Amino acid sequence: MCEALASIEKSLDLEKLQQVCDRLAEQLRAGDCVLLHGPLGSGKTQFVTCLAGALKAVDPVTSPTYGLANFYHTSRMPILHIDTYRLVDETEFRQLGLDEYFDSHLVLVEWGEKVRSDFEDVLDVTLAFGGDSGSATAASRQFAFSWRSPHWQVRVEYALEGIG
Amino acid sequence: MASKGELILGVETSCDDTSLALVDESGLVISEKTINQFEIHSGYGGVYPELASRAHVHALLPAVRSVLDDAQVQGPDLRAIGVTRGPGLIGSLLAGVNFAAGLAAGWNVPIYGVNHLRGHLRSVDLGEKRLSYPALVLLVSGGHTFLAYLKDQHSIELLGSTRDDSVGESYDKVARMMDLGFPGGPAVDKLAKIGTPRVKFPRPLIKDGFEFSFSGLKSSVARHLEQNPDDDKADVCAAFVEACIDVLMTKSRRALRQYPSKSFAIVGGVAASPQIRQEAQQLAQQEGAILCLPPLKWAADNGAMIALAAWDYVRNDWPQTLKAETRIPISQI
Repeated sequence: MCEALASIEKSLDLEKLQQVCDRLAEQLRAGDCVLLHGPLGSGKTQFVTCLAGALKAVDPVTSPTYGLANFYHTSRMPILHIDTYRLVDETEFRQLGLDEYFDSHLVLVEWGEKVRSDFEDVLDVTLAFGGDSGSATAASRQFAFSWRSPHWQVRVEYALEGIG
Repeated sequence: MASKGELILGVETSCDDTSLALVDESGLVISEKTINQFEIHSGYGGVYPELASRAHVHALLPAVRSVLDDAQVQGPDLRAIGVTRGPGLIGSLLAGVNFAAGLAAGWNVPIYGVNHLRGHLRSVDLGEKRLSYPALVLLVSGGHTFLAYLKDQHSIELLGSTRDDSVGESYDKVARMMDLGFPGGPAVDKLAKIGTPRVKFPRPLIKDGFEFSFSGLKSSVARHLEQNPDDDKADVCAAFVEACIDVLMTKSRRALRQYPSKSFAIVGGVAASPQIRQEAQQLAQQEGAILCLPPLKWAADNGAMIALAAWDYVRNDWPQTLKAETRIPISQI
């Protein structure tokens, strides 16, 4: 697997996360894919909630762990929210046939590592608990945004502009 | 042996399990066959990676033969077929809906697409009539968590559901955080019994309303374990279960007071929790409702509850919608 070209790390509380998602969402299009990584309870679904909120999705975001995939409608493009937590491997994922929706949807994948090889160009978002810095409040998380293609760099830098 | 028109075939494939059953109008389950993915995998030596929808396709024909043979009836003699059309995983739903539609056409019997959630509500009356109306039903499973008020058998009002994770999912994930093995729910309950709830985990949204949120509770447990990796697992489980039950029972009590009910039923896999059963018994007594806990075998997804729900469709002459949908609100037919 190729190494990520670049990455930016940020500690974000919920309010800042929403600001970042608002700005990131402006630049997202159908066909884009974001893979989410991080331990249980680190906020992967919350990230999707913030992005869907930024896109004014009409459907509520819920965890797709059991149903494997949720669809949300927005005025800009539909969102496909996938969770591979219960899947064994990428073969099982491919057989679900969800790839039919990739081009026409914004695709957000929790536990995205299992499906990395199905996407050429993704934004990786890796979440971790605040750590022992002491400054991190209960609600804040460490976010690492990483990518290989330069157009993600532009988008991430725009999204993080002005965030302390 | 049943006579012509006495039985409905229920077909359930909304998630992992393929489950078919023949049920009469009183809710008696004449025959039933459930095949889960694990069994199918073992057939291939336990390593063949199957997907849900293909697994359903493989399981459906043997299952329908099995329920018809056990009940000694022929397909064309059925009153109707009821098949889950949602909510659920689209591929899995389509496998069931298409299969059932084929059977219905071949046998020339009516077919009804059934709301899976209505099936869960009706599962209380499988085997014997347990529910008196009006009734309050709490559904707690891996896929769903909600409170519904049933004025009568057919008028369902959703009081509130989860905004994020289901309670069953948070049980499973908390078990996974502590490596308690599978299935996680019973393991958490078992440890919780011998532990002391020393930590006070948050009770999301407990103060008002009927909506639930379990994601924040799950995160709090994760954060606690991250900061205290050597904490006693039994104590953590006890604190987690205490928080879950506190939320579920506080909301149920609020609902019973605002919507006086003769019965209070708890359905879904998490209803197996001994702690929840005990607390619910107490709550029902205090609020003057009869507690109904259906047998645990009907708590998981099953074809029998879909068949029983389909009887409502037949009796009310509800539309025979066959469109598979990943999301259907509980109030919708």
